Amino acid sequence: MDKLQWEAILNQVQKPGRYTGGEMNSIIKDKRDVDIRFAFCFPDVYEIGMSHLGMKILYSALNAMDGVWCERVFAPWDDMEAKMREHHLPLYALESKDALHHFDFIGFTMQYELSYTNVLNMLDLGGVELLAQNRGEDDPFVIIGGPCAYNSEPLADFVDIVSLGEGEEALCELMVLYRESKQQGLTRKQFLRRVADLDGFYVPCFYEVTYKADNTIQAVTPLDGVPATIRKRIIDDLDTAHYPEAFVTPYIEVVHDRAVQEIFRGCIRGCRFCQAGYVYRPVREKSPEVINKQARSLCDMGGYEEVSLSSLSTSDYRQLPQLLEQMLSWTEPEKINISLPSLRVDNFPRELMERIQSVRKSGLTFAPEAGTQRLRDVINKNITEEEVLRTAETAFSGGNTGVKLYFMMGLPTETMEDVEGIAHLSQKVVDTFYHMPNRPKGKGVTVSSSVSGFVPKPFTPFQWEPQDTVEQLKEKQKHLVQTVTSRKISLSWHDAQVSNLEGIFARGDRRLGKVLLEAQKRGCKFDSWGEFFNYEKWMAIFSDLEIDPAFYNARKREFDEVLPWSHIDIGVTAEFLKRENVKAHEGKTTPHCREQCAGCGANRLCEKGCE
Amino acid sequence: MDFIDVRMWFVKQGDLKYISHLDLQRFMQRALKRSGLPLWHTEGFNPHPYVTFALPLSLGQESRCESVDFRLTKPMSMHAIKSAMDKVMPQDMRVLSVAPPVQKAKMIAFAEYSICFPKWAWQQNAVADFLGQSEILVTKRTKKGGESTVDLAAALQEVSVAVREEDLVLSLRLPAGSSVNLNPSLLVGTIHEKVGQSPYGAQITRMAVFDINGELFS
Ligand code: SF4
Repeated sequence: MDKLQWEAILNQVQKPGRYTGGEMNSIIKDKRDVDIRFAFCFPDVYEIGMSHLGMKILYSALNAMDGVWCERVFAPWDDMEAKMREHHLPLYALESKDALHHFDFIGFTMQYELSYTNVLNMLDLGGVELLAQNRGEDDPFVIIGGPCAYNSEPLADFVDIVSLGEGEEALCELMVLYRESKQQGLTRKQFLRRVADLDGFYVPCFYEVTYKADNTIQAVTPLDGVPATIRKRIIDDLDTAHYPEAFVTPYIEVVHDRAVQEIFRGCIRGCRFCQAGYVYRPVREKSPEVINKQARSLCDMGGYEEVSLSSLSTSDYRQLPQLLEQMLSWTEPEKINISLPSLRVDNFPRELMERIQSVRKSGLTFAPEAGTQRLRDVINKNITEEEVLRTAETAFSGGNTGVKLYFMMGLPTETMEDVEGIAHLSQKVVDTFYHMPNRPKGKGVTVSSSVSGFVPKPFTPFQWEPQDTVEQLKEKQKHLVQTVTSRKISLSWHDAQVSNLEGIFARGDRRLGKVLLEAQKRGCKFDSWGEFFNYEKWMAIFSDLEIDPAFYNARKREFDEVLPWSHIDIGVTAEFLKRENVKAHEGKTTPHCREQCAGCGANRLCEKGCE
Repeated sequence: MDFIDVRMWFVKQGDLKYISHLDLQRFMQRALKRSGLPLWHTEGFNPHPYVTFALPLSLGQESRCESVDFRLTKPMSMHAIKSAMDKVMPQDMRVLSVAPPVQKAKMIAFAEYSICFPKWAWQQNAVADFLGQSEILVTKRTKKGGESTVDLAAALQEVSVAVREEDLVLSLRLPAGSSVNLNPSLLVGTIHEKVGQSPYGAQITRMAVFDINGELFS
């Protein structure tokens, strides 16, 4: 790379610190000691990617291997992209500044569907052939992982390898296999064939998909003797699993700039809309001692002022008070805040609450998800109105006057009565405030209710359900606005068109590859950013290619339909998901895993079973 | 509460010139925390290590003379403080020295810059002629969003226009006080406008900072 020209470009773009690298704890290796180069890409801007825990874990795990150098790549903002294209500067990795096409592996972590176009755009900018079938012997292997990898079919044309489940052990095994295959002089195809036999790796080119006349899938046929189903990987024992001693500490401000300490994986709750609740099962905890030691190292090495305990539901960590006691012994003198996201404050010890600043504030947000008890039973969201109001009261008596409530709209079986329930519940929170004799004086209350459109996801009990159309959602939004009478309630929505596009790709199949290719050609990128999202452009592409988007999201699927992801095994069985779907329609709840095991099947993945 | 004031001098160069002043502040607080020094924290709801910078440097500019003040709760030798900070400062922001502060930051009046225009040596005479004019009027945006006209010729001091291999190198002093302050990028912009666009822009490096009496700020 021409340094002078590069600097001249950086002088003309916003936030050049996104593109320079060189942060504390970033890893530079001597190329002479390296035989495998891995470019770990996050298909969004630096500030978002650098806040992502999974990337930090895998970056650290791969770099812990001798001879493997893992570097970071983020999507350049469009001012930078324009300059790069103008000056023929290919997309490069931050550590070595080498172009993407020089790497052995290009990995993408897929966190949301609306980043698919960024994957294609980044490959294109990096000088990498987009279609996997056109890549030659010297080209990099493109590999994806993360939540969207569980149904990677829309990306199947562009990726060589899909990593299913937790990657810290699996990716290292892949590196070993690659090294061996190189030494043995295997061809690209021969190597891929071997990868298909490695646990937790799906190689789409070895699976042929055939379709029926009605466009549903006839069969997914394994070729060349590859396994018929591919099971996700999990880490058996999180205490001994690799965890970074230090995070790359960004210079520029990023979304979450703090130490993040994972405390457990999986979730016992079983909310029926939540993909994370199923794909990360079974629940496995880290011991308080390990957590405490790892968190301390992150803080010491990063100089952070805040450490956040990360999991899907903090309150379900069984030894939380013991853990906090241990951590407070050093965070208090060092003036480090502990942040506990998604904590239920109702049964949290008072004494601890007072010592943890963030908890004093955390009564502020609450996610009832649905407005009526009936609908909360349908989605198995185990929260009662009483709990919501009690928590609000705790928050108010602590001096807070703002509460944020999260809801979804378009949930299965939803009626206008349920929609009104969102307004009513919000109103009851407002009323709770005014009924309190000891409410904060001289101040009004604000209840901010944020409503997003429900998107049915693969590997949930709702994977067969139709998604509300944009028109249906808009109708419901209108109705909700009319139901809200208090000016103390402020409503906000997610864009219904965005949810619609997300829903198409979430349950999409391989035929959507053409749509993505065309979208990249027509300049779609950063679709999760309001300033770039262009719904009309997307709909024009679907109609030009004669693909009906409603086939993917607005249609009810039958239980016996072959789903595009039916050859992927996440541990939780399809039989269990069907049972849960039926119970949902009957309005019956399922107790959480520690109350009573519901027999989802995930315990088969782990020697010691569920915790 | 008692504390000891410390002033640390460091460079800011290479890729780290793309770190904004605000980001530098956060970085410095973290570096101080990592150093293990007995830091004095600000009081209040959200205590953090006290740091203050003498003269903010613009994004994209390098410096050989940045300084930051912080406070310790216990006395320590300057040497020990420097070695603690050496461990946590990156190469492109390495520590030059640590000393008790002499002047107050508000005494700062001038800064000396070196401005390099890569591969632009052939414009030496044109630039020298331009800078030699008796009046160079430019419009400057003011903090309040308005505009004002300043005469660069009157503000410039100790100007030299030299050639280093293929590059053109200016050296000069500009006002950098709290009342009058001229950013060298204003001069670069004017040269690009009036003399011509250099092929690779310009690299600005702050070389030294002086007080109102012309003494080195230290
Ligand atoms: S096997 Fe039982 S306890 Fe384990 S995750 Fe499934 S339902 Fe929960």
